[in-house]
Amino acid sequence: MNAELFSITASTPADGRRHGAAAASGRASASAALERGLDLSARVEIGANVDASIRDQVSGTFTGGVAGKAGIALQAKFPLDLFREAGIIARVQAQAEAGAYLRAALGLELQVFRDLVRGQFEGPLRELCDIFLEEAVVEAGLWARAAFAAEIVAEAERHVATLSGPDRDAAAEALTILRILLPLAGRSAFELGVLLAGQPPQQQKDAAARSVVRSFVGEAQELLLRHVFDLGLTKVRDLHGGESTRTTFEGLTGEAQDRVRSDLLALKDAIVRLDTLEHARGSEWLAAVVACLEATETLVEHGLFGGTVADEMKQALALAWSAAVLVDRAAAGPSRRQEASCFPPVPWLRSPTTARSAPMSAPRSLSLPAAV
Amino acid sequence: MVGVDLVAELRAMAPAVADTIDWLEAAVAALPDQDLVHELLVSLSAIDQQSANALLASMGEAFGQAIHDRVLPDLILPIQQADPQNQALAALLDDVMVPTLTALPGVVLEHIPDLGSEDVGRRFREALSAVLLQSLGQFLVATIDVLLAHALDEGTQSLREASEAVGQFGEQSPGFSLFARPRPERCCR
Repeated sequence: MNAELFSITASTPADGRRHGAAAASGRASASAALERGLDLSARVEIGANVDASIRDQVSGTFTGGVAGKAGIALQAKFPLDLFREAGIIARVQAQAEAGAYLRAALGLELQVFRDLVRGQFEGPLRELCDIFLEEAVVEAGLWARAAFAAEIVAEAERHVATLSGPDRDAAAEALTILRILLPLAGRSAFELGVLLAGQPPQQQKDAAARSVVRSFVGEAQELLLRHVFDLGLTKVRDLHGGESTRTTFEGLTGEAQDRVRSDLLALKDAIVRLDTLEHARGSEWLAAVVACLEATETLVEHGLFGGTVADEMKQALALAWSAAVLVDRAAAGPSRRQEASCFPPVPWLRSPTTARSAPMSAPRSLSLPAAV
Repeated sequence: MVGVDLVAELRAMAPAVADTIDWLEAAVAALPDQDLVHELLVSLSAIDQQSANALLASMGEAFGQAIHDRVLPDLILPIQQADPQNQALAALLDDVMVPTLTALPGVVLEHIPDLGSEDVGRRFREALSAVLLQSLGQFLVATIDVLLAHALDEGTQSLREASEAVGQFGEQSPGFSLFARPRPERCCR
């Protein structure tokens, strides 16, 4: 661990087994001499030979000599004002000296280690601790993991649901802002730190501005497109439940009615499937959306919607489909957004094949049509 | 999405959506395009330096206002007040959520325009480290704490075993036991 996170191991080691080494290694020795900012450093200094890996097993060997010294220093400076060198300084320091030759083998099974760490937290922090232990290396960007911010937002959502009256309405509106700002805040801190560590000073200002604006635009695009997607689904739902749909259905032949019933059951299954995807990966979410739109399109082909309603339904489906595809691409990051002009040629007739990393919240505005 | 006034239709969906649209429009107010959908999905799909610099200012103002006027009083405070005894929740809000949120306009966006020298860059990175460690520090401390406690337990056991081994060696070699036996207490009065 170093006083400045971004100046040392900014990239994750390619060897997966060593993934957690930076966080667990007792060899990390950083004597920080910061004048400002926060420094949290771990120091284990016993002429040690420590090999640690959180992912597989936490194990190591401490080796010391007669004059060996073992100690750990945790220094935390929490300034009230990051740029005025004022603040609260909290320091915890433990020092132990060994007067005899020491060689102790340290072996700790991963699950035991996890349980011990998790045991120090409760409630929502325990959930975040699990994500921390999964990543276990700060330099790789814990905040960059969508699951970390999503877990915090989900916790806020749970508590907003317990509020009532005007408080709940105001909190729900503020929650929308939180959904965009919290992931942006955490990820920006990581991305900027890593970015600036590799940039010459004269280029840092422009590079930082572009980076943070790009992150915001990505979040804003996704938020806007989710609303557009909801708008499309709302239209689809309203058209499904219209009186003209019922009239059209009653005018169909018995065989056609059977086909439509079968289609509606397929739509019902697709909606139920979509409804189970609370925080699905993008590919799963988009596939479930496409399945719903396909089922609705089949209803159009089988004549459930007559006259202008059929055209309106197609337009609503097109709106929902295009928004869903763009949401998926916006969530996948800047490199995917550059390819946003490449649409599949036939809407709602093919499933996406590309993998995604960002979890997607399931849409909540699609419900089973009254006709079903 | 062509031929449809999406912004108007979105505003009509629900007050919360209209509120979000207003907020997004304020955040990109520095740009000349008046249509939010076109702005976000077309104009900003490729961000040039001029737009980035212009947006930085309007984003900082909109974010700071939203956090201090909306998120903190309308969301964080009611959640805390609804469950004042919940210490785990308080830790999540006070140690993770609020510092990270407030740092975005107050630290990140506000000081990007100051960048340009080695010293400012270093101070900026330290500040970013502080923001991150404010939320992640407790997990790091817990992790190191467990490792240290285990190491000390193991070390104690090893010393005890080494002591026994030396004692047994002393019994087998009486001459060496002169060096190996425990020292008498210093403060015998």
